[in-house]
Amino acid sequence: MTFRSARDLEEADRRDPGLRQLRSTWAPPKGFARLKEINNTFIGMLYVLTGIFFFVVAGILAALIRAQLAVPENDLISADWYNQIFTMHGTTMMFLFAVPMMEAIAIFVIPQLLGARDLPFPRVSAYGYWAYLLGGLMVLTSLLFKVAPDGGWFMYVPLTGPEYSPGYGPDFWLLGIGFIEVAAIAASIELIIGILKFRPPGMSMDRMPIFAWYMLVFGFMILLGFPPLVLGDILLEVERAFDWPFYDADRGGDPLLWQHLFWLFGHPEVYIIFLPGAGVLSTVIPVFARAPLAGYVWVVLAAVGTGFLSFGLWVHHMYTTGIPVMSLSFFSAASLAVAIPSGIQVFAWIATIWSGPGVLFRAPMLYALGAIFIFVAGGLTGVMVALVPVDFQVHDTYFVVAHFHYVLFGGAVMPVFAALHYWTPLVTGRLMSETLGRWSFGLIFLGFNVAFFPMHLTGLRGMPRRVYTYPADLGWDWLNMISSIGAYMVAAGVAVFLWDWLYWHRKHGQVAGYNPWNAGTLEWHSVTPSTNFSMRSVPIVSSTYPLWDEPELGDRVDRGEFYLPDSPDERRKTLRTGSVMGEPRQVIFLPHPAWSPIIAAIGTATFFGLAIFKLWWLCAAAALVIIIAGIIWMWDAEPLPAPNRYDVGRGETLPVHINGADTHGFWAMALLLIFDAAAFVSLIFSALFLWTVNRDLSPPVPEAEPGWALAAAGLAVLASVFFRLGAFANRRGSMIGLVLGPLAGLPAMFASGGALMGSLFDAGISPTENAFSAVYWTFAGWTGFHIGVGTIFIFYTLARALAGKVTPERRQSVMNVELFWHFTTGLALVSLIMIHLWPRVI
Amino acid sequence: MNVIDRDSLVGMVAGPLVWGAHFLTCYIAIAVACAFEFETGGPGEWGTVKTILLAVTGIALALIAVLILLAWHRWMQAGGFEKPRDSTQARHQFMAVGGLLLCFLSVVAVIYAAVPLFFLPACQ
Ligand code: HEM
Ligand SMILES: [Cu+2]
Repeated sequence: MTFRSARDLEEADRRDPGLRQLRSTWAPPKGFARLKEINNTFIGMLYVLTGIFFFVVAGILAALIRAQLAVPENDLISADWYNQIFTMHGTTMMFLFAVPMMEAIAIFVIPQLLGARDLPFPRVSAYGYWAYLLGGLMVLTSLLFKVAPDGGWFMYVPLTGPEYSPGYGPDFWLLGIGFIEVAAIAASIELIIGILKFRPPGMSMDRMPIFAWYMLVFGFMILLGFPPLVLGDILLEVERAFDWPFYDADRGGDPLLWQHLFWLFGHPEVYIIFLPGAGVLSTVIPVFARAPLAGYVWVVLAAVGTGFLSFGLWVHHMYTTGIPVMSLSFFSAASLAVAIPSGIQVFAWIATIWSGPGVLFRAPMLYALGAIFIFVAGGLTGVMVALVPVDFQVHDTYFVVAHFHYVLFGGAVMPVFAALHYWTPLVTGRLMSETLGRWSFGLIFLGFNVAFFPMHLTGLRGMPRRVYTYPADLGWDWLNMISSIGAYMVAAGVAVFLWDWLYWHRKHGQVAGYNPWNAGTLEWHSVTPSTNFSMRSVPIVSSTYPLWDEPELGDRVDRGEFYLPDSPDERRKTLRTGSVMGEPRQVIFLPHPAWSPIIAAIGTATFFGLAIFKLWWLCAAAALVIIIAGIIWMWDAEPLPAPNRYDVGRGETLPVHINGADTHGFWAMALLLIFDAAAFVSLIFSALFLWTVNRDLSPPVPEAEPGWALAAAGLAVLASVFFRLGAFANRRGSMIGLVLGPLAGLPAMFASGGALMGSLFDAGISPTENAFSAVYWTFAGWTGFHIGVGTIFIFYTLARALAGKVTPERRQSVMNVELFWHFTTGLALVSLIMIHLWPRVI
Repeated sequence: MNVIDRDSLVGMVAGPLVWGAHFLTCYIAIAVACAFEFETGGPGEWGTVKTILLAVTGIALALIAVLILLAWHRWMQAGGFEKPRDSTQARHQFMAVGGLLLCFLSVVAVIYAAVPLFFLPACQ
C-alpha cells in the first residue's frame, strides 16, 4: 500500500495515528515563523534556490563580458568595470554557486537517500544557509557601488595588497568569502557525520548509495582543503588592516606565499566541485541505463583516490613562477596520476550503459551524457596543460579559459542541471517538461561548445585572458564573435530551464506520483512530493538499490513496519547507526525550529560587514550577539529523558543519550578541530616557506630569557591537567571538583597566554617589523583566540553545571569542552616551539 | 587495534596515506635542499638528497606492498571472487578490495613522483 498519489496519503492520515503524529511533529511553523524552520527539506530547498540565484547573477556578468568582447575595440565597458566584472563572475561562480550548490543538493537529498529524518545538526545547516545567503549578498553589493574586488578570482598579491588596492574591494572579497567558508565547513561536518552515522539499519558501507560516497569524500576535502584559504585570507586581511607584512617582499614577506596558500585550496577546490557532479552522474546513469552501477567498488576507489591525489596538485597552477623544476615535476606526476581514477570512473559509466537493456534518453540522462562529453574534452586539454612545457606556452591565454570552463561546465553545471531535473519531483511532486528539457539541453550544450571551443584557438593565437578589449586584425575578431553568440545560446537555454523549473512544470507538469523514474534508491520509496520527515518508518536495508531488489519495501515503510513509525511525544527524532555496519545504536532527539540560528547568522554577517569598514567596536557588539545566540542555541543540548530508553518499534528500545567518543556531538567537535588544525598547519607551512625563500633574512631568534617561554608551556600543561581533573571529578559525581577544575585551569591558561605574549614583548618583537615577527604574532594570536573561545566554553559549562545539566550520566558537553582545551594547550605548545625553539635550531 | 581491523575505514585508505607522506617528504626535501643551495655546492650534497629520497621511495613502496599483502589476505579470507553468502562477507570483500585498489593507485602515484629523480636537475 505504498502511497501512489497524494490522495492515498491523506486517506491514510485519517486512519493512521502514527502517520498523523509524524506529520504534525514535522510540520513547519506557519507564516513568518516559517523562517525558524531548520528541517533539511526546507533549508535544502532555499539553499538550492539561492545557489541558482547566484548562478544567474554570475551568468549575467558573463553575458556582459561576452558583450564587451564580441567585437574589437569595444567601449561598452570600461577597463575598470571589466576587471570588477570578471573577478566577480569568477568569484561568484566558484564560491557562491559551484560549491554551495552541491552542498545544497546534498543537504536536501542525503537524508532521504539514507532514510534519515534529518541531518545530525539541523540548526547548523540552517545557520550555514543564512550565513551563505547574507555573505553572498554582501559580496555582491560591492558591485552595485562599483567598489567590487578587481584582482581576479584568485586575488593575487601584491595587486590586492594595501599598496596597489587601497580601496574596499579586496576587503569585500576576503571578509565576504571568508564568511561563506563558515557555511561550507558547517555543511561539510554535517554531511560527514550524516553519512557516517545516520544511515538506516543494514546499510553498511558497501551498500551506501554511491552519491553518499562522493559526498563523504567531498566533506573531507572541504575540511582539509579550505583551511589554507582561510589562513591566507586572514593573513591578507591582517596585512591590509594592520600592516603585518606577510606578503610584502620589502619586509621579508613573499607574494608567492599567497599563491601557495590559494592553490593548496584551489586545486582541491576543482575536485571539490567536480566530485559531487560525478556523484550525480553515477546516480543518474544507472537509473536511465536501467542497470546497477558497474564496478561499484571501482567507483568508490575513484572517488576516494581522486580525493587524496587532488591534494598533490596545487603547484601546477604555479609552473611559471620559478619553483625548482624537480618540485614542479612532482606535481606534474600527481596531475597525471589523478587522471587514472577519473578515467576509471568514465569507464564505469560506459560499462553501466553497456550492461543495461538500453538507455532512456530523458532530460536528466541527456544532461548526464552532455556532462561526460564536455568533461572528457576538458580533461584532454587538462592533460595538455598539466605538462610543464605546454603550460609555459599557453599560461594566461584564452586556451586556459577554454580548458577550465570545459572542466567546470562538464564537472559541475551540467550535473547540477541533471540533478535538478532528476530530483525536483521530490519537491514539487511534478515532473519537469521533457520538451522544454530537450530545448534547454540542446541550447546549453550546443551553445557551450560554440562559445568555448573557439577560445582554444583564440588562446593559441595568443589572446591573453583578462583583457577588456583587443585590437582588430590579430585574427581574434570572428572567433570572439562566435564565442559571444554561443554564450547567448547558453543564456537562452538557462532561461528555458528556469521557466520550466520555476513556473511551467509546477502548473502543467505531469504528476510524478510514486517513483517516476523507476529508481532504486530510498528517496523514491513513496509518493512525491516527499515528506519533511522523509520516511514513515526507517527501513532495514539489504542492498544498494533497495527499491529494485525488494519491490515491496516501499509498502512496508509506508505501513510503518520498521523503526520509529510514530511520534507520540511529538518530538523530532532519528536513528543513529554504526559507521561501518549500520546497526542501530541510539535514538537522536533532534532540535525543533528556533530563531537562534538565523540570529547567529545575522550577527555573523554584521560582524564581517562591519569589519570591512574597520568599525571594530561595533564588531565587538556583533560578536556579543553571536555568543548569546550561540549559548541559547546550545542550552538544550544533551537531552536526557528518564528513563533513558526509547521504544523504536519492532519490540526494540534504544538509548537516547550516550556519552563518549562515538556520539555525533563529539565527532562534530573533533572534525571542527581537524579543520582548525589544518589551518594551523598551513600557518606552520607559511613560516617554513618564508624561511626557505628568504635565506638572507633568517627568522629572528627572540633574544629573551627562555623563562617566559618555559613558564607559558608549563602553565598551558597545568591548565589541561586541571581541566582533566575537573572532568574526572564530574565522572565521579563530584560537583565541587567539576567547578573547581576549570576555575583553576582558566587562570593558568590566561597566564600562559600572557607569558607567551610577554616573551614576544620582552624580546622587542613587533608584528609590523618583518614577515617573521608577523608570523610569530600570528601564532600568539591564534592561541589567544582559542583561549578566548575556551573561556566562553568554560563559563557555559559552569552555567550548565549549576543548572544541573552536567552529571556523571550527562557529561558529553564537558567532554567536548575538554577536548577543545587540550587542543588549545597543543596550540600553545606548538606555537612556543615555532617561536622560541625553531629559530634557534636552524 | 581498530585501525587494522578489517572493518576500519582508516585501514582502507592506508595506501593513499603512505602516498601523501611520501609526496610531502619529497616536496619538503627538495624545497629545503634548494633553499640551502645544495646543488651548487652549499653545505650539503645533492647526491645525498637524491639517495635519501630514493630510499624514502623504497620504504614507501615496501609499506604499500605490506598493505597490499594484508588486503589480499583479508580478501582471500572473505572468499575472494566467490559470491558472498551474507552481508558480513560482502562487507569484508568490499573493504578488502577497496583497500587493495587504493593501494595499487598509490603505487602508481609514488612511482610517478619518483621517476623525475632520475632525470631532472633539482633546482633551476
Ligand atoms: C555560459 C557561461 C559562461 C560564460 C560565457 C563564461 C565566460 C567567461 C569568460 C569570457 C571569462 C574570461 C574573462 C577574462 O579573462 O577576461 C571567464 C572567466 C572565468 N569564469 Fe566563466 N563563463 C561562464 C560560466 C562559468 C562557470 C559555470 C564557471 C564556474 C563554475 C565559471 C568560472 C570562471 C572563472 C573562475 C573565471 C576566471 C575569472 C578570473 O580570471 O579571475 N564561468 N568566464
Ligand atoms: Cu589545478
